[in-house]
Amino acid sequence: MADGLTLGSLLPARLDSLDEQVKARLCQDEQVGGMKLAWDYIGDELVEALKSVLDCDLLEIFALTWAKAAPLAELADSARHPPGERSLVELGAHDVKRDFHPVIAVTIGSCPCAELQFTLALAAHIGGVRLAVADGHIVSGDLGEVWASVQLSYEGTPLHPAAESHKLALPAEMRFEPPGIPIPRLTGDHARSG
Amino acid sequence: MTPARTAIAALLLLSGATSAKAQDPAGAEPGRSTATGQTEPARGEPIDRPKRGRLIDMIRTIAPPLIDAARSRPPPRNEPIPQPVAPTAPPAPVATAPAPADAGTIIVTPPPPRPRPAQAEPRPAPPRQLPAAVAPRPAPPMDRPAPKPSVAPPAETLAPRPPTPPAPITDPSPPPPVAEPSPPPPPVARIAPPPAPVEPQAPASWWSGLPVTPLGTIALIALIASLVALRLRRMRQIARTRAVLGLSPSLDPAAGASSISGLSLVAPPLSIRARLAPAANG
Repeated sequence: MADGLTLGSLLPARLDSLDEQVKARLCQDEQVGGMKLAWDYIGDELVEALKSVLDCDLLEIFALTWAKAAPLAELADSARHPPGERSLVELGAHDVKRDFHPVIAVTIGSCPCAELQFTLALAAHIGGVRLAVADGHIVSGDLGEVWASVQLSYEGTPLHPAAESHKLALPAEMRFEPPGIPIPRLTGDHARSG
Repeated sequence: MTPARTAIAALLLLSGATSAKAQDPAGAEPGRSTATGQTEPARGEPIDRPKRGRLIDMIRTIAPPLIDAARSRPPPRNEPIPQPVAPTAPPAPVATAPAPADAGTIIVTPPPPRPRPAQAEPRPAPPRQLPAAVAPRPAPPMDRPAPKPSVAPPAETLAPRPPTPPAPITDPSPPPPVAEPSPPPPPVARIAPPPAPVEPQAPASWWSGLPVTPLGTIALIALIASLVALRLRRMRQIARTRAVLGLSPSLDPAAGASSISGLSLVAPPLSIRARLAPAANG
């Protein structure tokens, strides 16, 4: 596990335009619009809420993505790989993209709740990885170099300039909590074709 | 006034030429009373010592109060003409009658010496009373014409006086002594230097370079006050917002699109299967 390396840590410290976007959305309610609120304070609170909900281990997110890849799906076939068998798979350089949709329900006073759905786009480049699979689960792995960046947007409007994160210092060996990251089993047709 | 001076003149006439010595402050000593109350005969007096001595003593006792009374009135100063001349002397002696009665025993007169100093003292006073004395002047001239002719001789005896009045007029010069206080100014100059050393102390303070004008100070205070007010308003606004704001974030990790590009196996998968083989021949 990559302790301390989370998805939220890739976000910039401050989201300048978040205040205005949220204010424009919430002020659609006349009652809220008439209140003299500290919108910059609300923006800061929203950023903190986003970071808290995005407090996900980045390697687990990568592992979930790898688990859906075809080369690994075959290893989940219990007929070919009986229990107790340990398989090692080495993947070359590849790019990973994934979108997340954090939602924050905002309540101001007695006004009706407003749900704000954001989009966080994760883009990463992985130089290479070696994975250990057992009993249909990814149990451990070794990583090469990784670059990753995120982009947060609200209703299609980016809330901060795109910025690629630095080269991440990931641990050379990673281990997941048993039984590990499950590999979705393919249906019979897919299994035969694979 | 006039009567008093006439009385003095009469007494002086009675006393005769011996008054010359009696009027001297130094000569006054012989007339002093002893501890027993008896007067000593004046030294070097003519043959009629006892009588003349008594007269002189009487004059000495009576004259001072009369002279003092006369001095209290200003007019004589400005006029060079001797004023002591007063034809109607009798009234004055009557007023001072008690003195002669007691002359035998009361001759205790330390005052005699005063007449002289009294004439000299008035000088400084006159200049101050000038304004008040100016008014009464017109009146005296009315009485003066008469006394002048009759008192011509006594004027000689009081000759020392006439010269005195003019002196007071010139005395105004004494005020110069008032100018003497001018010397003190030097000390004032001494006080001046200290301010100079104070100046170097000012720059020593850290705020000496700042504008210390009242306007600048007021502006600075206003600025600080506005900043404080702004900060307080901001704190109140945040507190109010915090009280009404509620946030509940959520995230579904499985939701959202994902894609992997360029994923390939670098090497064929390696599978390891381990088992404990049973015994071949039971």
